[in-house]
Amino acid sequence: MVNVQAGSSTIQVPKVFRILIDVVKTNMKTEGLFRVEGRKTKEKAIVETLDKGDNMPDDVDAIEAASVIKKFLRNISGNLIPTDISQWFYEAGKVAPTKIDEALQLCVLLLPLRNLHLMVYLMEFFNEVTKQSGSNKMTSQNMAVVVAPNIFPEFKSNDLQVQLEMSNLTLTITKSLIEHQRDLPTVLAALTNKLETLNEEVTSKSFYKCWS
Amino acid sequence: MITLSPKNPNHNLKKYKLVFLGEQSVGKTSMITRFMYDSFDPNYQATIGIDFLSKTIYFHDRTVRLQLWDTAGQERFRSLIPSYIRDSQVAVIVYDITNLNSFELTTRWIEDVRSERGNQVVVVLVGNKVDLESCREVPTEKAEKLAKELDVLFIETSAKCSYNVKQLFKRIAEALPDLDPDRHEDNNWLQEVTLETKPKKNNQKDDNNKDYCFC
Repeated sequence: MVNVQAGSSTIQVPKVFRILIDVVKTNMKTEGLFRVEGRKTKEKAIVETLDKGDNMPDDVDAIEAASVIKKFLRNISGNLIPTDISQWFYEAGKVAPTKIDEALQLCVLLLPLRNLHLMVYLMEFFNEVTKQSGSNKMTSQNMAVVVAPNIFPEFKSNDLQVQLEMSNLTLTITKSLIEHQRDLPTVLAALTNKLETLNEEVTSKSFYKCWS
Repeated sequence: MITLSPKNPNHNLKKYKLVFLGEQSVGKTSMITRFMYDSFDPNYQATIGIDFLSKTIYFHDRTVRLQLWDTAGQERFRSLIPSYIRDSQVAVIVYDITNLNSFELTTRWIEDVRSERGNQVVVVLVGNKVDLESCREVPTEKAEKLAKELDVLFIETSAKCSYNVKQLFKRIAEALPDLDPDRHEDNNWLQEVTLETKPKKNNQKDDNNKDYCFC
């Protein structure tokens, strides 16, 4: 785990995500970032390097690092949005468009702290990617299409209609999370402040420590 | 003169399912959009899950209904795809001629199709985006060779410039089971196109229409 800054809060995220994001940041203008597939052999090499804790090879490009981020997201046990909590996200995704962000903020707070931190960190980064959509063509819609299947529990149905509705729902939710990620660190900070006021003993530092 | 097949005495619509496969952003949706509406959406849009469209076509005095299944190239949806392959008579495997990786991964898609359908399927390998010739990474000969080895049809297209897309569907129709292309000489469906050496430029005025790439 490493400390990263999100708004005024310091949050903890798995080191691999920070390493990979640093690589992606070197070429944020690459067309189809997070959409286009990388070379499989390269991706495998990156995973092996990270597993061993070695330094990243120099010739890794943004596309492959982005693919590996998605791969790691899929491999998080219990998903970034765990099954039991996903139900709340689905409900939030169905509320009136003007209320979605507020509903989602509440849902995000239901996440286990580690997931919450990673969520805040990733959504902030994905938002940064969409700011370059003039070059990389990854608008929040496109980012949401490629990110959503990797953060929600896998959903399968033989009914095409049901399958499509579910895809659209997770898309709406992810898009909203990416577009309004700025509120997340604020919500997080507000929560931490409240806890601190409630109990002076609970400093944000020890609060995070107990989860790491 | 209309010849009715004994199987279809009432001249019922024969239905065929076509599934479009390939990596992300190779142009599966664009190819379908070009065929269905003869248009090109310059907006770069990732497909959500799986989508399908139908089109009735007239071919060799026969009316057939084509169901085009557009799949998202995303990893997570891969597990869903075999069930769509299983129901399909045609698999269109698309790669981007400016992206060698997307070409190399076509063999995986073809293997998936063969393992589900064996030889009971028409497989077409399609190299799209020939309008970006200057960025080409996959030589035509290389793809031709692979297609021959794997015994699949092969064509290069540009969905953006409407180059060879009709030809692609004509080739598919000719290869469809129960549609004998030699039965009639006249071809009312899809005029034969004379292939130009250079694909036509799209006249649409749009920034995204420039011939450029990031290589």
